[in-house]
Amino acid sequence: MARILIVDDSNYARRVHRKVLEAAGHSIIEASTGMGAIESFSLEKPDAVLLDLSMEDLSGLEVLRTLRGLDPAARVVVCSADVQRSTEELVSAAGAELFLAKPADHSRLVQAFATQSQGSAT
Amino acid sequence: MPIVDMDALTELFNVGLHRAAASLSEVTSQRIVVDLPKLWLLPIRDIEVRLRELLAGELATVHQVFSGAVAGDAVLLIEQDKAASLTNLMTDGDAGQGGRLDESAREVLAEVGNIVLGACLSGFGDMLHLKVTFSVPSIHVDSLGAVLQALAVESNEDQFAVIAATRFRLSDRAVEGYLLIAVGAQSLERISSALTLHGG
Repeated sequence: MARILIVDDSNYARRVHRKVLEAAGHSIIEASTGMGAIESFSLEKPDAVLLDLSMEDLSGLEVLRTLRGLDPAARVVVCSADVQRSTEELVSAAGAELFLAKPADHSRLVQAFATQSQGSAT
Repeated sequence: MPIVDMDALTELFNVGLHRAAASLSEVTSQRIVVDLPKLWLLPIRDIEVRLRELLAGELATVHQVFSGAVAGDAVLLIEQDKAASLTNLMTDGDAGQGGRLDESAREVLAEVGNIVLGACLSGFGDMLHLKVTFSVPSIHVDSLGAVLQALAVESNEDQFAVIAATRFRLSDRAVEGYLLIAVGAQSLERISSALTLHGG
């Protein structure tokens, strides 16, 4: 099972996603800001990241690009309420493995990281 | 006041407003970013004081009544000049010229309100697994006092309101908007229970 960094400025989203992913056997690290995400990623070296896009200090897209700059193999699943087609295109171009629309279906969320722990990109 | 998980309620509005932004983006072919909303939940008698701290001058409002498992009023409130700016941005300058909320700008704003309120209310219904139906929205340009008067309902139960403040960002500009949802105590209890049941 994976160590997953959950990045979201919503306490509620972090709480729900933690509960779902812990129930699936993963261990969780949390960050509530973009800068916190980059710091935790550098220090904790998680296996994968679940990343929100709308955050006050740094956008999730900037975080995604930074993480991929730090580690080109960084495995990032984006989970956002911003379901514009242009957003999905930007997320894909920035190297995310998967885009999940909020509120994320719990089984799809678990499946996203089950796929990741098997090492295959979506 | 019923106990409500404010983190869950904020996320509910966040998802609803982002759905609205996605719908507006489809209509305008522009990328629209929405900030995480800031929320206040308060008895309806206290909303005037709060809104006077947030908004000034004449307001452009789009008002929609909803009913079903939860019932109440949904109102999009934007200061008049900002509403004109928003319509101007959304039409590449065709409407809302000179900061005026003229007939064409009002038509655009009515559609914006229709999309925002419809996306939010249907999003709430989907996420909370509650069936909600809503009326055709109506647009008004009025003082805050007149807006509040339109919300006044004769009811035996306590009335509450959620005010969500957000920003719509497009074309390097930002326009502040406020979404007000007014419901009775029973509807608020249902929302709270559904948040607990379907949240986590």
